[in-house]
Amino acid sequence: MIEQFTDELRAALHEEAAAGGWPPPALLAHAKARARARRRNRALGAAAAAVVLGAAVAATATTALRSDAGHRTVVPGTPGPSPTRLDEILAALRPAVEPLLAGQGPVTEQSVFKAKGRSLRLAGRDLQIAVTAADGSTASDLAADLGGGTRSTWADGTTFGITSTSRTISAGFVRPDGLLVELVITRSGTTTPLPSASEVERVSRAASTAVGRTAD
Amino acid sequence: MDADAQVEAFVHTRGPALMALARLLVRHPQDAEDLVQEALARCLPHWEKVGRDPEGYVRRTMVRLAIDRARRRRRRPESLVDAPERSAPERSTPDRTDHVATRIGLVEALRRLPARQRAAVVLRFYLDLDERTAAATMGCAVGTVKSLTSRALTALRAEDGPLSGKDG
Repeated sequence: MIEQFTDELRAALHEEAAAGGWPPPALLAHAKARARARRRNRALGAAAAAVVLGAAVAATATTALRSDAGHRTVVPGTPGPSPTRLDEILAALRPAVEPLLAGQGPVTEQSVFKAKGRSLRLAGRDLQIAVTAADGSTASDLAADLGGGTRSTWADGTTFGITSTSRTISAGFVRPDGLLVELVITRSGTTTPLPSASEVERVSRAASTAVGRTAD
Repeated sequence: MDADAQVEAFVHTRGPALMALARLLVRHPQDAEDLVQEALARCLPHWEKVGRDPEGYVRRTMVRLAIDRARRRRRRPESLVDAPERSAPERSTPDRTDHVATRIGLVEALRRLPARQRAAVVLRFYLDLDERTAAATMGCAVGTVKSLTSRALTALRAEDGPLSGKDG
C-alpha cells in the first residue's frame, strides 16, 4: 500500500511538473540584468550595497498574454491592470525618490540610506523601500538590463526607464551625476495583472509627472 | 563557447525542466518563474565555477531559495488571494476519475506542506534523488531529509483517501 501511495505521489508530481511549461523569453534577460545589478552593487561596497524596493500589492485578477517582446498584452474583454493603482504606487514612492532626484546636496551614502528602508503604507499594504545607488550606470544600461521597456530623458538630463516582468514593475531613474535609483515593485496574487506596452508607456509618463518633470 | 552562450544553451535546453521543478517547489504556481529567474541571477556570476553539472548547481540554488523565501514569508506574511480550490469530485465508486482527483488532491496537499518538507518530497519522489544527494541539494544532514520526508508523507497520506491505507 505504501508503495502504491508513493507511486501515485510520483505520478502526481510528474503530472503537475509537466504543467510548468517553458520559461518566458525574457526570463534569462531579466536574470542577467539582476546578476549585473548585483555585481555592480557589490563593486560599490557594503555601504552603498544594493537595496531592493519590494512592494506587495494586492492585484486585480486579469488574464494576460505574453507578447514576443517579453511584455504582456491584456486580453481584450478582460479586466485590465488598475492604472489607478499603478499611479498610486508611483505617487507614494515620490517622497522617497524625489529628494534623490532633486539634487538636494551631494549624493552621499547617508542620503541613499535615508531612502533605504523607508516604508510606506499603500492600499493597506506595506511597501518596503530601498534604493540602489550605482555610479556610472546609465538609463540606457538600465533599460537594456531590464529587457526593453520604456525610457525617456528629461529636460535636466535625468533619464527614466520602466518595464515590467511577469510579477514586477521595474523603474529606474538615472540622474546626470550618475546616481541610479532603481525601484522594483513586486506584485502578488494568484493571477497577475500586467501592463501592456502602452500601459507601461502611460505609467512612464505618469511617473514623469509625479516627480515634477517633463518628459522630452 | 563563452559563458554567455553556455548559459543561453543551458536555459534553452533545460529551461522546461527548471520550470517544472520550480512549479513543485513553490506554493503558488506564479512564483515559479520568479524562482527560476532569481536562481539564474544568482548562478550567472559564477557560471565558470558550476562545472560539469550546471543543472545540479541551479537546482540547489532553487531549492535553497524556495526554502528561504518561505521563511521570509513566514516572518512577513503576504495575504495572497488563494486560487480557486481544485476540489475533488465526490464519487462513491472508484474509477479513473478518482485517480485524477487523488492526484489533484496530492498536489494540493503538497502545496500546503512546509517548504522544507515539500522540497524533500520533490527531490526524493520527483527527481528520484537518493537521500544523500537530496541532503546535499538542500544543504542539510541526511537524517534531516529522512525525517522531513517521513513527516511529509505522513501528512500527505493523512490527506489522501483510498491509497493512504485508511479507506481502502
